[in-house]
Amino acid sequence: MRLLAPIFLALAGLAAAITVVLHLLAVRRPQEYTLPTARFVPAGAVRATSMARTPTDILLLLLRIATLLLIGAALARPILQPERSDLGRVLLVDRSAAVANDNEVMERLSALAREGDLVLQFADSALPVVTVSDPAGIQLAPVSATVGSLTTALLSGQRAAAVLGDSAERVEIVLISPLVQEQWDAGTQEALELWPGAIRLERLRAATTDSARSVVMVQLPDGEGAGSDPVAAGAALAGKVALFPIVIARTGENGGSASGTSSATRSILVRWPVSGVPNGWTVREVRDTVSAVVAYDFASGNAVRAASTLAGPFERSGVAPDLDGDTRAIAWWSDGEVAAVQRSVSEGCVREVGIALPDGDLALRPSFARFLAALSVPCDGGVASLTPVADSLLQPFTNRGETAVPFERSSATGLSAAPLVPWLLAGALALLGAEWVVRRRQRGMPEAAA
Amino acid sequence: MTVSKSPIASHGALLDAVRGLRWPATRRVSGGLPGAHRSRMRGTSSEFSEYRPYRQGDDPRRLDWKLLARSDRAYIRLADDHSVLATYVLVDASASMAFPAGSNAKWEVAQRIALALCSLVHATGDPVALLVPGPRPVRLAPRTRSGTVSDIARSLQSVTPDGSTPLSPSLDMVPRGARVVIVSDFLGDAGNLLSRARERVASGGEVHAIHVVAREELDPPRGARLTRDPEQDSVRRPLSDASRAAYLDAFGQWRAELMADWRAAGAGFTALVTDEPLDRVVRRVVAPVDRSMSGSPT
Repeated sequence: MRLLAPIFLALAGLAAAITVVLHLLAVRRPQEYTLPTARFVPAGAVRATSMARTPTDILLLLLRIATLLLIGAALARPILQPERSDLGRVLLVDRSAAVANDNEVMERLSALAREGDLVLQFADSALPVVTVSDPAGIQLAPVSATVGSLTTALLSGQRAAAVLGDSAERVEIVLISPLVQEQWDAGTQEALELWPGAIRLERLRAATTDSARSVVMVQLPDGEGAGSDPVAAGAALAGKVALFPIVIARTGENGGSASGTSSATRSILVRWPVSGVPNGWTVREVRDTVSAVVAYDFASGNAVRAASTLAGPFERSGVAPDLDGDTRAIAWWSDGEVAAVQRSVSEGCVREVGIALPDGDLALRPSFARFLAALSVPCDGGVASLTPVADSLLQPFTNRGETAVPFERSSATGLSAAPLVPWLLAGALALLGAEWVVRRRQRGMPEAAA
Repeated sequence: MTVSKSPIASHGALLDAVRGLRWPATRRVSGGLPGAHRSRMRGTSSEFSEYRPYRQGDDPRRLDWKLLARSDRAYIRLADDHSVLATYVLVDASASMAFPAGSNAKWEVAQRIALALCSLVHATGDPVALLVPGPRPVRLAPRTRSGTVSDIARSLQSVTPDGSTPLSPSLDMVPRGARVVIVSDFLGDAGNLLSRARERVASGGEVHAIHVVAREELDPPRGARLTRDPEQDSVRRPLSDASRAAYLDAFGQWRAELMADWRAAGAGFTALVTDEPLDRVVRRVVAPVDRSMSGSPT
């Protein structure tokens, strides 16, 4: 409990002490004494002020003291606020695809989290803030398929820090993230500057191609189960196929509802209709059969190497559009005809696959997984891993003094949470009423006796 | 069978202490039954006093014939007579005598001093009477028979001091010439009482005043007190350490004036404090008074 104006309580204590003295110095009739020779005593006032050893009218005295103290306590404006810990932490945990290893995240989090800290998990958006009650039992959210946004994390973390400031003297923001360039956007620097102290960084390993674990999301036509689609089945078995998530739209000839890719998230959209040809392709008048299709991996930069070859009785039903500056081939039939193309769009690329998979176990073969990996290379074809943010960029923010920022408690928090003043005043009024009743009763006693 | 305790049993020590004392009258008493006090009458008793020349009208039988024969002069032989003297003991039983509360020491002392004097008077063969005015007055006529002292003790024990009955009307009931002993604190009708006593002394009576003062009246408790007069409820005065000296001065001055007034009136006056040995008080009362206070026989 905290008093906003403790001087009033001190004044009430002083008034109570004066009341006790007044009760000791009461003007009253001295003790009556029958004396036959009273006529020889000089006449004087019958009531005299005298100092007693014990206060008179104990009940009245107690009521008056209690009333004064309650009024003083009410005027002192007490507020009930929880005890503040010395240091509170807001842990910003990166749950985006940029994190290479979950175990590393958990280790850092367990080492830093304490009871009462706030954990804010983020990817491209911030998840709800969780207060730590058991540091060893923190549940991590599933990994996002996208690379997270540092700006979002920092702004949300500062809002959480303001809340934590009511229960902690100092607040520290800890960023547990690989801090890759792909998470850094135009607002990140401003978001960092908003925080008055330094940000404590717990840097993780960034994901690479080797550690890729992106999820292949397959959008199927309505009414069709994942088990009946060979691409979906093959993707499920593929495992680590790419650094960035792949969305394979199997929703029809026109490529389904999936829109274009985002360069920020770097996800890959692949339009691969279940039947027919992708939008923009020409349907062959006469379908023919091809025995294999070859895809190339551009992940190693300019050194193009064959990634996978799918062999099987493919039925070719479409002709790829003409290649130009915005459209290039990424897979070929065994006879050299284009089997899949990549169209450049304003914010990335869309890949179109005109391969109708034959019945059988083709999608379950390792070659199919490699084929998917070849389809998942970045649009620019040369970048296969995330770029860590340079230390020089972060240095101005990590060298801004103490990471723990002192926080003043918000005064409005306690006042609204502890409406003690009306209760104290009500108690004082009740005691005043009781004092009045007792005083009337005591005054009425001699009259009643008379 | 139970034996009732004698009412004077508790006063045995005091009565023993005053046994043998004599309380002669301060003046010649008027004639009456033969007694221990010198009478104003000169008579034919065997105790010769003096000769006086025979005057016309004298009883010729009182002539000393032998002297007449030897000297041829006629003289009458005179002798002193002795008579009894009735003593009335008037005891104040007003509320002021019931002090201090609890012990009633003033009333107890008044009872004991009255009983001691009655016993003393009764022992000399004089009749003794008791008067206790009050809401339930006690009047015992003068008597000399045995058991009188017990009756007086019993009567006194039956009295509870209360009220503010004046003493002076009771004084009027006492015959002229009798001895009156007033045992009181003189806080009631002291003025009237003194006036009546003065008249009585002037007419040849004998009056003794015994002023009973409680130790607590001379030394009241310390600290602030609201004193209340038990006989006048309107009198309430604050007694404190500051006013204590003034009280003691006023009380002392009043007692001195009281003694002077009574003695000036020709009455005997003895002041006693409740913690004094009462046998000594009795001796002071019965001791011969100054010549200035003694009446001369006529």
